[in-house]
Amino acid sequence: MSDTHPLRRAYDAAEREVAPRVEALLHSDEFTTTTTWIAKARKRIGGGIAAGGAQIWHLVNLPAGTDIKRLRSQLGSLDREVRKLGLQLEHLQHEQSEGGDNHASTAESERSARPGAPRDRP
Amino acid sequence: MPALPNPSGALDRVRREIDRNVRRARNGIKLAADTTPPALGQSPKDVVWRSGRSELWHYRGTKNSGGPPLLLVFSLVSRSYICDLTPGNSFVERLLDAGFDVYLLDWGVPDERDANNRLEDYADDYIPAAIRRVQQLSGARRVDLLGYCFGGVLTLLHAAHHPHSPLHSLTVMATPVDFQQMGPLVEVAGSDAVDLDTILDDNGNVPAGIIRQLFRSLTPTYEITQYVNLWERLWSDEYVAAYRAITAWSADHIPFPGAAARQTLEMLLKENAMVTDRLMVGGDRVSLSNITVPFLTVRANRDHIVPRPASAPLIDLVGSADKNELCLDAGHMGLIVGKTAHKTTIPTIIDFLQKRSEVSA
Repeated sequence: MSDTHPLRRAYDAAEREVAPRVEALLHSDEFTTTTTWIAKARKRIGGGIAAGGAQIWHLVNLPAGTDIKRLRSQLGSLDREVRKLGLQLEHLQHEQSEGGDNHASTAESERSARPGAPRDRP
Repeated sequence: MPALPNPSGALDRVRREIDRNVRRARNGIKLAADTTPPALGQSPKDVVWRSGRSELWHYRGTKNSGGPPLLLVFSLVSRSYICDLTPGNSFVERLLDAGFDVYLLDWGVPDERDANNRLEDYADDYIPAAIRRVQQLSGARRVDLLGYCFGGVLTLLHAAHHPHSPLHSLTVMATPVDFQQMGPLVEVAGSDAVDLDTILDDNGNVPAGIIRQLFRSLTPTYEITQYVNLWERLWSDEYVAAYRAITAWSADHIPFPGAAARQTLEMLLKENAMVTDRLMVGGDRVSLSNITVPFLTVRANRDHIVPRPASAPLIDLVGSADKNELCLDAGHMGLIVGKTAHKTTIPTIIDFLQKRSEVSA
């Protein structure tokens, strides 16, 4: 006799029937097209409302949401450039310190090569 | 003469059911009443480097086998604490116990400042910077690099674009390369009907909610099944704790930087550049055959997010002489959390890395 509860067996059987159909629906071209159309429509309507609102704010010489969004995008790009410069600077500093270490270790090796001089540990 | 039923056996079953019903009631009330989020990602660690939202974490370990340090790189669309979910169910913990010196590069939560981050920002800037920092702190010349899921894609791009990167080995787990074999996930995302600009939020990123819905659409009845599983195992404290932890992580996606999303869609998906050898990173044409360090790819046979055909070609694409493939009977996250992970995946990865450390010692 199976240990599985009868309700669980019933759910599993129902899920085996329903799941493939739901997945097929969600992954269908029609569903994708419909959800994309809805998203585009929302964006278009939202964009229209934002544009109308922006005109009103601009009439009283105040920034609109679209202006703030543009500014944030520009600040974001600037932030990225500054970060990249910072990382490049880190890289150069690392290369310089490695070069310095190599120079020091070359000098040390040359001193160690002299007879009687202490050996460096590996 | 037929055997008589064992009365003590029946009594034990009745006692067990009563005990389970008491625990079901207790755990059910706790789940409903306790709104505090579970404590996740609790292994002690220090932030040893940061740039923007990204941080490099160094986990505090008490054992150090002396091998190369290990740098973990996670996906761009979900939280990295899955690698250190809960005490006793933590990939990081197991690595520390095995004597590894463990670092993790966490991408944080992207905002408008990250919208223009391209894939090369990660492959050419962040990952090399993290490797340098690991070298500085550990004193090691070379680093073992491990990427999970899309983190594996980033590590592959880094290793392919920088074949002289100081890597001791490269391991990728559940990492797609043939994006056109990703199944429903990219059939939807890659459809001509989908316009990325429509999906991006005001910050210029793909919202976390869209990412979550995309993953949910892969197995739409999974959430209901999870509730049924929970009802069935509500008596088990261990199961309930694991359920809370995994559910919290599954709901905690992060936005995907818009520029990186666009590149993923155009280059990795539509051009399928990793397998068609049309990868462009930082303006350079790169190939996975440029990768020559000791290499391991770990794939999950029941991975519904990165199906087998999506990860299978990788072993033949890398140029390493010492390359290995491990296929496990697990799901996408089952490679690092859960029983299969702790019995098989994690010990195998540890074994691979430890053997490479002995060879080079």
